[in-house]
Amino acid sequence: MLDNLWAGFAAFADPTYLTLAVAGVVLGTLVGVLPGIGPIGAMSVLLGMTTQLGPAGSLILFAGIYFGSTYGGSTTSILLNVPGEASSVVTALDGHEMTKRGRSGPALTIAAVSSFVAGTVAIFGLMMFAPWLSGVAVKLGPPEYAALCLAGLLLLAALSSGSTAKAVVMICAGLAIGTVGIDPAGGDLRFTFGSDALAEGFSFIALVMGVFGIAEALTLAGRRWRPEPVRAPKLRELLPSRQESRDAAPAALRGSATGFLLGLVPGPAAVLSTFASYVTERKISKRPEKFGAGAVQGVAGPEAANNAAAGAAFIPLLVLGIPFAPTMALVLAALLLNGVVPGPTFVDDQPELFWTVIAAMYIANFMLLVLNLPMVGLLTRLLAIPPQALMPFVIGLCIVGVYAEGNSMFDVVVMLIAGLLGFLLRRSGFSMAPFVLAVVLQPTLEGSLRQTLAYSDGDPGYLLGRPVAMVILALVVVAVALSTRRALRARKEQRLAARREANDAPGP
Amino acid sequence: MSIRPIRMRRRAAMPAILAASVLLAAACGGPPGQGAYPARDVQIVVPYPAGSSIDTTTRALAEVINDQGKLGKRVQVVNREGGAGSVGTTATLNAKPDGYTVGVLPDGPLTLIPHTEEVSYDPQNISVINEVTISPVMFVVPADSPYRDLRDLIDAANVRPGAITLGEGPLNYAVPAEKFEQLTDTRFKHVAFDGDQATTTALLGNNLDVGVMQLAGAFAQLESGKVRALAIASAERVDLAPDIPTFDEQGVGLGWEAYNVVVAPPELPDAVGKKLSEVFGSAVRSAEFTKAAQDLGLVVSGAGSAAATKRLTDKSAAAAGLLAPSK
Repeated sequence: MLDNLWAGFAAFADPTYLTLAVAGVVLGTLVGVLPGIGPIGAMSVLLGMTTQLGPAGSLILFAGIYFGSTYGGSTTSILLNVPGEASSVVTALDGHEMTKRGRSGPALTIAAVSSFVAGTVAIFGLMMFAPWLSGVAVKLGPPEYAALCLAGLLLLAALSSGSTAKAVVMICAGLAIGTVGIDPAGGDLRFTFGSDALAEGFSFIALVMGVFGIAEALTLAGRRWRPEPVRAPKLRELLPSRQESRDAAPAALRGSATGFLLGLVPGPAAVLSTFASYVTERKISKRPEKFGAGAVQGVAGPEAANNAAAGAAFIPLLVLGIPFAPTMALVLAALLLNGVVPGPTFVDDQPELFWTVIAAMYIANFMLLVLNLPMVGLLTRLLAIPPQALMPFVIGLCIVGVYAEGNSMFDVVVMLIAGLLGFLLRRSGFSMAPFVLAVVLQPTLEGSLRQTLAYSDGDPGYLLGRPVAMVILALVVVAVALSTRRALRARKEQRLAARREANDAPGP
Repeated sequence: MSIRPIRMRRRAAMPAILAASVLLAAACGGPPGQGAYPARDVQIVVPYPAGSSIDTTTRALAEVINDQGKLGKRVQVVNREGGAGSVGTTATLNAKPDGYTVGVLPDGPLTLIPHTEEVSYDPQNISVINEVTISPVMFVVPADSPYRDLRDLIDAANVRPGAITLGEGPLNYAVPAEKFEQLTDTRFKHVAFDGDQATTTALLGNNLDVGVMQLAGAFAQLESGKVRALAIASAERVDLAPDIPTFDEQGVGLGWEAYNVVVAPPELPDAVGKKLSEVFGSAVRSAEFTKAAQDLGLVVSGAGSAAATKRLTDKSAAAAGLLAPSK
């Protein structure tokens, strides 16, 4: 295994890879720092380039963006109370409190070091478990794959913030869009309305660039912008005190474990893991009242958790070929565009690529540590750039990128329409992540569902003989039921509160 | 006032259009860029996703072509997947016949699919440039399968008709599977898989009893002993895998091979066709490509345009008989 890892690092003697790693990390940090445009947007804009970069190059670039963004998001959380990413919302709770108390430097360092520790833990986990999990994954048959796809979609919908119903609507839309084109099994044309362009189906790149790249640009363009004065800590203020380090270390390790485990299962792992870690830290703390008032553990735990989850999320992607998160869906798209189909045989078939990716993650994590702390000042100054100035550039890049990928004006039109629709839907509270994941998972879901039906001759009793599929489906049902109950209860409370208010109000 | 509609049958319109285009071409002083072909890079369409066997083969071939440099420009592989190959085939055959779009196509969309589906290209009217590889179809089972040879499989299928799962997919697997059932009077439970990789994974996980695959798709797993081949549907044993007995040897007269051919849209200018034939022929016969193909488990063909066209016509005729009564 060490030989393999060493060979993976040797790939980085190639300066192109090293440059890509640096570019990915810096770009990821930037989109993490800038609110509005996120890692999915950045990846989708770059998706058109991946065929030129090759499979290893694109994985290195995307891994850099992915890790960089989870990392960059915490900087603004801590300094400004503006979470750059959903996964750093929790960090803001105590991180910004620390800033208010003049401990912004230590908060940033603790976030950075915790992320680094977690990243390393996750990579070790990936190294240890991925080959072993491949052996397990190969046993999974069509019913399990169908169940996993459903779990990936429904858990994302049920556990993400925002309306579950709206997320389910977006999932259905994504699945419907995915069926357009030639039926993979029968070869019949579906929903093409006689159009040759539609016979090939919608281009995934066009759709994702539309709903993330274009729609994000439009959303940001409509937002009023006022730069906030930020004081970045000086280098010598970065060092945490001994007590702070002592508090942070165990929290970071616990956060790493939580994040890693959650990253393996379907659902919005990076975000969930931050909440899970924060709640755990507060529960086991001897002084829970400190949480929300600048507790070091409240920064170290969640920051470690989201980074470990980010690393662990690569495991289901590489081992099963199923992405559980929209960012992973983009990594999958980049791999497929390069002729690499991840799945249970991936680690055996493409060991060089697998170990290069592992090495890429190490390098990305290390670079984040050495690059970002000294660059905090620069990063915060970036926040003064009005995003409106960046957005024409993003839109231009999208148009060029999508055209270059498919040489088709139809794709450009699809992207622009998807962008406009995405923009309008977002304004009405619909999230685009379930949509993108549904489009990516649709072929797998359809194929495995059809195979399951063929195996079972349409007899539902067949599923009883597939315990793994049953367990996955049962978990999905439980999660959806819990989330529905939570939503119903919230609505009831809202209604009660409204009634109380009405009663309290003096009658006419 | 009435206007008498001009009625012209389509048959009559064609010569008129042809004549007009000839005149137009003459007026322009011959086809543009003649003698200068190729003026830009040539796209090779592959109708299957990147990473599939035909994609790997084509990329290996493209690399040899680019290394040899006989074309003068480079070739680029473009994946246009979907519809069991018909999307990419449509894209190839309906492209401008200018030599800048060629396809490395599996024979299925040319010989089989037109019998079952309405296609938006004419499978008879194509410019076949070269045959690249031949892939005999095989029946593959997991290493620990109870079936040691075809006899075991046929016996088991007779005991439990319709219970043994048979993984197929594209028509090039479905048709020989059907033919096998006819020849042996057995019945299996057919499950469609997305290609050789998906079938292999299902075999490795014991989620499938028998997989219909090509030698190339199972080559690596056969070598490592994780799966076994029961029979290969070639006339004689294949040099690449001499241990696999043929169907014929085991008393089942099943011969079924898949071909990958280089094809261009119809009415390709002669000079362009000749140039492409030269370039592809020399690349296919090169030692580098032969080595690459063998590593992948492919039998290199290199048959020229005439021989390849005949093979396609014969296979289409054979398939017509098999596909017509079943559908």
